Amino acid sequence: MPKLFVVAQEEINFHLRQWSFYVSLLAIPILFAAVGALPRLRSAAHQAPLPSVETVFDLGSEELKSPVGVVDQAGLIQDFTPFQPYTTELTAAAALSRGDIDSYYVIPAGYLNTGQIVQYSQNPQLLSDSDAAVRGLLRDNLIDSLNDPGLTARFDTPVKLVRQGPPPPLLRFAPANLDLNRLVAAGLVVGLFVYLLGVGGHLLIRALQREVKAHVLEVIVVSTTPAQFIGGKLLGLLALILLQAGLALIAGMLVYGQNPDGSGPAALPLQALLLSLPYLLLGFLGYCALLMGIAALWPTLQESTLLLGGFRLLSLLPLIGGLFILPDRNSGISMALTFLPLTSHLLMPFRLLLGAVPGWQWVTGLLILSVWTVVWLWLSMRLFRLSSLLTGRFISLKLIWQAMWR
Amino acid sequence: MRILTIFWREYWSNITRRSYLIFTFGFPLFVIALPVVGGIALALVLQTLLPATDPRPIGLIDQAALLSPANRPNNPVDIVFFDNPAIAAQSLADGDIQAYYHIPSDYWQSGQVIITYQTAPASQVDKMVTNWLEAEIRGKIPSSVLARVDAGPIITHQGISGESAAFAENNLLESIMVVVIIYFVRLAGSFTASYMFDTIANESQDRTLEILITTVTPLQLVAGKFLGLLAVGLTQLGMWLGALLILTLGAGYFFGVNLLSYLLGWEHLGLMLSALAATYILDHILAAGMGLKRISSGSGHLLFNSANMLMTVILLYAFYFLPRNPDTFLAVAASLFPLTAAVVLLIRIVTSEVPLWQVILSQLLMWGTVIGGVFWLRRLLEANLVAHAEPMTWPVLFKNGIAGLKRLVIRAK
Repeated sequence: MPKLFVVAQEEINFHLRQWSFYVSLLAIPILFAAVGALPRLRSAAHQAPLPSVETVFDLGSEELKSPVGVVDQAGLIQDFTPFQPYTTELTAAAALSRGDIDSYYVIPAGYLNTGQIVQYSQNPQLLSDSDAAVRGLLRDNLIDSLNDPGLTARFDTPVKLVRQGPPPPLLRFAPANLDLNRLVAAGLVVGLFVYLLGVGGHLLIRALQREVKAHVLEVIVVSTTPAQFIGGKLLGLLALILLQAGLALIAGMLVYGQNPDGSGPAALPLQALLLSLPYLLLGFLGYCALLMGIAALWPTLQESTLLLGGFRLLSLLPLIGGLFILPDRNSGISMALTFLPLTSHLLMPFRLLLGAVPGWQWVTGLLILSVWTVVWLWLSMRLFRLSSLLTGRFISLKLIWQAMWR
Repeated sequence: MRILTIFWREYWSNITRRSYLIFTFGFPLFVIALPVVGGIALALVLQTLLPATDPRPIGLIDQAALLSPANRPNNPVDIVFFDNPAIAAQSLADGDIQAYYHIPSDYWQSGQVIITYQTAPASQVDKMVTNWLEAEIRGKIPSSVLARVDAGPIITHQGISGESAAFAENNLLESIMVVVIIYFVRLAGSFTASYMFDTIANESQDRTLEILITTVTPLQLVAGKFLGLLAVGLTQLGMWLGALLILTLGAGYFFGVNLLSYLLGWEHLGLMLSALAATYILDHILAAGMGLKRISSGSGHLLFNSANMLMTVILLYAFYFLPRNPDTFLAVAASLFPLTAAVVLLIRIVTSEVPLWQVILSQLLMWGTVIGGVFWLRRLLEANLVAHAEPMTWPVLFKNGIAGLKRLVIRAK
């Protein structure tokens, strides 16, 4: 068996012996599929007789959940609904002690100038349920105090524009005819690809660390060529990544588009997925080759972890290109982003999953990405050879340049 | 002396590494650069989506006598007044104006403004007109009423007894700052603890610890390495906090707000520092412990990441749900549990009145766990060296855990 396949087989066997590999192998497809069922779960939760959960974001409700009193020393309030009015603080405090009310607000005489009011309760806390209601009460009564219904009405709603002419074009980030379910499905598949790239990089760095730790790297490099070693590692990891991607996509295909109310991600189109896979493959190889090349120049174990973290963050940058594709997926910039090898591995699948892409663009993008990947693979092998030849020496730019051509 | 030697060697060799410096200075730059790049991209996209503004003026017929021509705005286009809609319509037909807005005499009752055009003006033009109308209406309201309606009340939440705590709305700024600080310290803590885990795990697997241990005692080694790596993390944290401090001071100078005074004047500042310091050290003890346990390369990181994810769940609970219900059983229990106390207790402190016994007990438990953790590390190191333990596996982990629990129950009996 060629040495490249021996290295690949060994890499696959190593991971198949790890129980954590099986956990992630099952967890990711389950998670990927579960996202499709979320709308159904949410709908079931809405129908279930569960109590509402209070969070910091639902403080705006002006509805009172329990009886609350108001002592108006400023004489501003004409209509106390839904609060309970008290003439003095003493009577309000007595009502609070009896449990007739949960709390009471005191609006002091100088409220218009100071704006200060106080809420008294048994358990004071920064965020109170009834604050929004008391704000509404004060605002409504202050405006009503103007005694000018027209002014009050226009203060609330200054203008209702009545248009005599065609409606203005809506500023939409995504085209009106874009199927949102399809967008969700495309986002999920691209998210899966991003995750797989991250995992691939992680496994690659760990694989290199493993060999260095065991002090067998030197043995390996004298018995295999850089192409066999790097190629074998990448081939092994690629097989594992494809297995995981395949399982997750099959799980998605079985679940997506099945919600009875049409919510959630749309059914994954098989053709678009098949056309996307070569981009994932090449993108994965290019990304790993890039990582391997840099790790070869910077092989310290502790440093490579940080390096990987940085690259994971950088690998998210192409997603910004999605902002340009959404408004018009056939615009010049969308086309350019799906040709650019730094972004095409993620953005071409995104475009493909949103709708059809002309065949020549798919081929052109693939050709450019192939060339880019081959160049990086060649470069990473050269750098790996250089780093193994110059162990312990500072690798200058001049040495790197020389290694390229020898 | 040996502790100092180990400490200094660990500290200096780490902070002078290129990757450490790149990460320390590069990470904040990346955090700033990512939203900037994303924001610029978004602005570019929006710019391409927005239709061009027609430069022709608009017409205006004010039959409600609401607007004063002297105050007319002219950005993005000029406004031409007309006496009646017929003249404006002719001007529109001639192409002199792009649209005309008709304020009918019953405007005060209906609120309607009729806009006539062939092609709808840009949204900025609509905005210019509606803003002007709104400003004129507001001008008719007494300034004292208007100011109060705009600002709304400043509500202080007070207990009925005179000694209880009061929570005013200006505490909201303090609480936001506390939330930001907690999040930042937890985030930085997870980075540096991960670093501690990697360093200890690597050294443990290399078996260089055994060589070191022949010249120093386990406690000296643990203390020296632990303090060295802790100092490495603190240096990183200090640099990031320093940058944040400079940014805060700069922002405060330009916007005329002294944000720091809110924090420095906070009565619970000492408690916050104590809680965050304890939790930071505790994270590192756990990371070092996991590293010493020689958990296999796959599950070690998985376990460590799981612990970090658990912390994210706690942060979500503390920021999202806790401020609304700060006195539940879960909130009290999480304030006392050492791994969650820093986040939960501090959020409770800024949003509600926490009984003093809970604060004291929480602190005692946190620092007690820190001290216990240091001795646990020492025991781990000794056990690790003597037995040269096999890589930790999940079944063993659970088996030991259950056996340990059983022993505890027997001892308690």
